[in-house]
Amino acid sequence: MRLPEVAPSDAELVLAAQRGDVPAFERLYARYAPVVRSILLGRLAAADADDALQEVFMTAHAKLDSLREPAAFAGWIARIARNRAEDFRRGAADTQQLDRDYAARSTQQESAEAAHALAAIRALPAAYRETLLLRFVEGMSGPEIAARTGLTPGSVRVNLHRGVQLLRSALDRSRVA
Amino acid sequence: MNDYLWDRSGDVDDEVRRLEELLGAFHATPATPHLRARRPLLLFALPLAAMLVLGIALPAFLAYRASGWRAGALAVYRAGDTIHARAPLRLETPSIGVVDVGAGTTLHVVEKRRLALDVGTIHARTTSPPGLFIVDTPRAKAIDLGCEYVLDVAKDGSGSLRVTQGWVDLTRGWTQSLVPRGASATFDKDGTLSPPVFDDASAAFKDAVRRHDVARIAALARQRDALTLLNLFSRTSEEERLMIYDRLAQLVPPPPSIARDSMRWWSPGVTDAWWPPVLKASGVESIKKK
Repeated sequence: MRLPEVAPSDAELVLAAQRGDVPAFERLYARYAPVVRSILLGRLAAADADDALQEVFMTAHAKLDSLREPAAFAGWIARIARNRAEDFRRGAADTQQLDRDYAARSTQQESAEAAHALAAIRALPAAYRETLLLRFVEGMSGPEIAARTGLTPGSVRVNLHRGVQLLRSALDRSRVA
Repeated sequence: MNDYLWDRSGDVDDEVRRLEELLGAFHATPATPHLRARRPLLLFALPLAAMLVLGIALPAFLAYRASGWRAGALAVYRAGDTIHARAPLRLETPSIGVVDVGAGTTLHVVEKRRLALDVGTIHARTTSPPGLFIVDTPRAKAIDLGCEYVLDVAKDGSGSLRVTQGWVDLTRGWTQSLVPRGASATFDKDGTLSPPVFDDASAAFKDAVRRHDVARIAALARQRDALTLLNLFSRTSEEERLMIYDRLAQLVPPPPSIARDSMRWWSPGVTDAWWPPVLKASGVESIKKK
């Protein structure tokens, strides 16, 4: 009988990557790229977020030896992402126009709506913003978000519920305006 | 709370569904960044340690070595140190040059520019200005005048000096032998210095010098041996000096200022003017100041 494969923990992957195991780091990338991208997308134009995503992981890879607590990888790379987003944002151009181009929906109206919704999410507090982006952009479920962010399921539920309420209000206000 | 928002179970929430459709436009799966294989920390630490050694420790060590005589990769001999060379050993110091020490040699470092050879053999090749590097022996001292030489000292204190480049001033008290390239000088256990004798001189001439037989020396001297004769004035009697003067005058005519009678009351400055023509006749270059 074949035993079920047990996924290695973050700490195991980090330790392996610190020893030079590139595939281990690629597994960390697969695991955390959605989280990092949500952090970046909440602050940057979508195209910039993709570039910044690569940079964040390359930075993390280069500085991995400085991570003394391997189990803390999630929080560590989130901090790198937020710092990188701040650096990027200083030179940002018209984010919403860039997002319309990026969305490239079937009609210009849909592209504009998508960019508008993203802009509304960016205006929310960070906790809601990142949770909603993980849910609506990355397509993760509540339990998956909890597993990746380290938040409790209850907190994720609250963030999703409250975040959607705030988003709805923001979109309604913009429609009226 | 609607379960569709939580885990997509239950009834579809139209508004949530609309947000999924709109915002799904921003979903992307960027390729994994191209990562070079990381080297373990140890592999970074080794070059780092090497840089520290090269940047800090090595210069300090080199400065320490430069302040003394270094032997091999690590040993440094400084003033007060004694070297008992059981096997051939090379000593080096940047400001002086290289001294190869023969097996069985005992040598003291008197100071950075001065060694004392008790017994054994050294082969010195200097790059320092003339007069800086001195080697004491129990019976004489060798003052480097920009040269390469071999100095040998026996257990009884006697010894020999053979110069292969430049000049060496071999001195004991008031007695001096200026030994040029291609010549040798000796000192006996009582400290008596021989004049310089060219290595290509005849065996009979060398024997006469060793025996201090001035008459034979004068008789056997070639023109090139004029240097040996010129060095004899300081270590001969009045009668011998006149004999030497006559022979030397035959080989190399003296300058008009050097009269034969002046040999009776010889002093070091009396024959100075004879040196240039003697050196020319002996085929050696004059002492150069670096």
